[in-house]
Amino acid sequence: MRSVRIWFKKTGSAKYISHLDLNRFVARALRRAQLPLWYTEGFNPRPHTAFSLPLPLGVESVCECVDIKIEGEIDDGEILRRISGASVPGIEFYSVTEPVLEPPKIGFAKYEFIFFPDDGDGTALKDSIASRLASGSLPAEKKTKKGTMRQLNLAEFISEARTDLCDGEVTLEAVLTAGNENNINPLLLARVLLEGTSYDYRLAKITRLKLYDAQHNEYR
Amino acid sequence: MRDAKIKALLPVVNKPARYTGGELNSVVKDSGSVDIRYAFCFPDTYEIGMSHLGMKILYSLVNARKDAWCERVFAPASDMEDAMRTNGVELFALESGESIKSFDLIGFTLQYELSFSNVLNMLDLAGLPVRSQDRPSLTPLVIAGGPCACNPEPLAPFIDIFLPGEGEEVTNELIDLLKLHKSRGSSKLEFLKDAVKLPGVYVPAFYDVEYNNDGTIKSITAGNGAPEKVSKRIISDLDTVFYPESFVVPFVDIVHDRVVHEIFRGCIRGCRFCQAGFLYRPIREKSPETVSRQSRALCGITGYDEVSLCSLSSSDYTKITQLLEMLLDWSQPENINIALPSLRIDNFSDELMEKLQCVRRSGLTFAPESGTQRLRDAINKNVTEDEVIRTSRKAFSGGWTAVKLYFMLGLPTETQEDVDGIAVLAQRVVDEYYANPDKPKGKSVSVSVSASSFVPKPFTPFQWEPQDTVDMLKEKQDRLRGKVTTRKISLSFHKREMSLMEGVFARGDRRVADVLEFAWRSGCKFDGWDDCFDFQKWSRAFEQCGLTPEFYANRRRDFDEILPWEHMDYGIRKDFLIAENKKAHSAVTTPNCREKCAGCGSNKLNGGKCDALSQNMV
Repeated sequence: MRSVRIWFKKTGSAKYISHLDLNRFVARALRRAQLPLWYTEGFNPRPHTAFSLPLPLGVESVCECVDIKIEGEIDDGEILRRISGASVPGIEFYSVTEPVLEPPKIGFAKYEFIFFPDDGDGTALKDSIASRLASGSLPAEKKTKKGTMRQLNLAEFISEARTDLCDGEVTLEAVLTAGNENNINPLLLARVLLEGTSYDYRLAKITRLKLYDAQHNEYR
Repeated sequence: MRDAKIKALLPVVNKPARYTGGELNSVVKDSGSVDIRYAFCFPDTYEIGMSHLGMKILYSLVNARKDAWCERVFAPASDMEDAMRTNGVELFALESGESIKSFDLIGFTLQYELSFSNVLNMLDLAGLPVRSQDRPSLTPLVIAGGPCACNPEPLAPFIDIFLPGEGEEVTNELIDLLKLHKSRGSSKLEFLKDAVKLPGVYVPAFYDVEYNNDGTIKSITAGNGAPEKVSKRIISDLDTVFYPESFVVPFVDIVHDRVVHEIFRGCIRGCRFCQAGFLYRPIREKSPETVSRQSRALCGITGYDEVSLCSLSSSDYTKITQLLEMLLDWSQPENINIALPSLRIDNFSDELMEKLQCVRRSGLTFAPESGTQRLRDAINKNVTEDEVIRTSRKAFSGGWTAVKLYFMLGLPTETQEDVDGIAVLAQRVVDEYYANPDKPKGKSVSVSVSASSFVPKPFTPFQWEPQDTVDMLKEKQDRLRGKVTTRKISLSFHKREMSLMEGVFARGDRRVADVLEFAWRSGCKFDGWDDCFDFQKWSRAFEQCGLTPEFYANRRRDFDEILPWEHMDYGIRKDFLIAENKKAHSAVTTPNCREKCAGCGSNKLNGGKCDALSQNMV
């Protein structure tokens, strides 16, 4: 038995597939791909799947991964070929690797935000976002695992941020803390950045670009 | 393709994956290369509709044709509907994202009466007038089928064509005919006049209904060449009939998220309250080889890890043990579960029990239906209390700790003793658990009693019976609640006013259509959902239309009264239903169809064939 990490993109309307639904989707795709899977030993044997970092509903990604356990002879290229054939548009499997870092090692994630200002002139919006980021104070409320609300300053969890303006679209690339501790939902940042403006944060296009460990090395 | 307007709604509604399409095995065609576009509409949410086997069958059947494209449409949840109406987005089909207003066929499946208001709402949301007469052009043609089409009258003014019975053949015939008339540039009337020549096609506009002063029907007269009686369609051979090679696999969690396989149609039991048991006659079995082969292929293409066998009474399938052997042969090595709902208590053999050990252990459900033997005899539910207890004992020694018991309140001839009997029987099942020496240590038993309200339905021996009033049902529910003394038994009931409305639409005539339209216009929709059902609005609609729900639900009909569905022929003879009704009132049972043919008449629609009969002869 060996573990393999399967990398995939989740784009377009596939961003509306929730994490739980994705779990089921991947389990079925693995069955359709007829991979020699290792099954859990229990009353209801099931293939083992472990996702590195859940993606919020409505956010796209080009760097998702899921670890599975293989029992039997099959090379990584064949795994990729078969799982790709069992997928749907929007979920594109692109690489199969040996897991180097365990999912709890994840420390940061890089996101791209694209805001579409209605008036076509994004200068004002870009300036407003940039000044909020520069202020160092982005108060927000986050639900804790216990269900209570926690007050935090999002600025403390942003390690890198760059705003830009291109063809009327305001873009922001930001590295946020991620993983088991202090995971920051990019939708929360979008909401705080757009608070008080006329833009609906839910309409922003957000994409997860990269995962890093706590030392800012690429997650592999 | 997909409208930017729809895309803008998705980020702001709940469970947007219900509206995106793009699921595995969904069929996308080039709209320019097909002649007929068919919107298959399920008048309830995505999660309910996607669980429906009939839709899967007809979706694949139409899409197997090169010249037609069938897409799926569900009732949007209220948040989505509000967003659509605010932003001027019309009801769209999931595959193309296009408004169904420009489709050729809009087909509704009528699975339960309380979804009728959603039919109107969906037509309106598509930007179409709800009344058939206000849609003068040939297309879109609005059609409807499913069990509730057996009494289509409450929907008569809204639907152009009803297709009573099984749809596998008539759907293709209708598409062929529509294609022909479309190319000829026919008018809607020209097409409909031709369509009624097909067997099993009911055009309500071609029938004139006259009423007596007391509100009962005086006459139903056919015109425009329509047949006096419309016969339901049936499929003769289940082994050769079309069955889908793939199912659309949803992303979101739906109610029945697995491979479903129908093992036979019809039922040998003849329970007098059960509409399905009469509507789907005669008995036709599918061979175990076909079920096993098709199920395995479906698992491969969907990735599902569970197959559920479906029928009205799975243990009556003559080759059930052989089928389970065949299925387990490949399903166990592939880690696929087999689920077997709808088991009867009385023929739960040791051999079957042993096979069931290998299939997924979910809850165990029994339906004694009533609390005393006398009432069970009256409704012809040929199950004895001993059988319930014996099967519970077997189940408990087999490791089950939870049992569900289904009962009905308000059955014809019911007395207080019958109501009390429900609590007594449930208690006996609890006692049986504690009498089992092998019961798991420290585990309590859970007996869930569901006591629904009986609603008399067309084409059953009880079609003439008065339904219990809301007050009578309340009294019985309260009484039963008082008789249950342990927390090991949990009780659940149906909402009484909902049962009343179900009864009105089940046996309603054409005049009820006005009530339906009024209620829908005042905001009624999703009436089968506790949180949406608004009885006050319905009451006001009745007042406005000068009708009462009691006339339809709580009135006893004479055997010679002309019933609103008198012109529909489901094969079952009326004198058979009358005889069964009389037997019910003297608590006399009728043997099941395999023991002795009761002569219901349904086999006449199948060239005299009925699998319950042929099995008797060999």
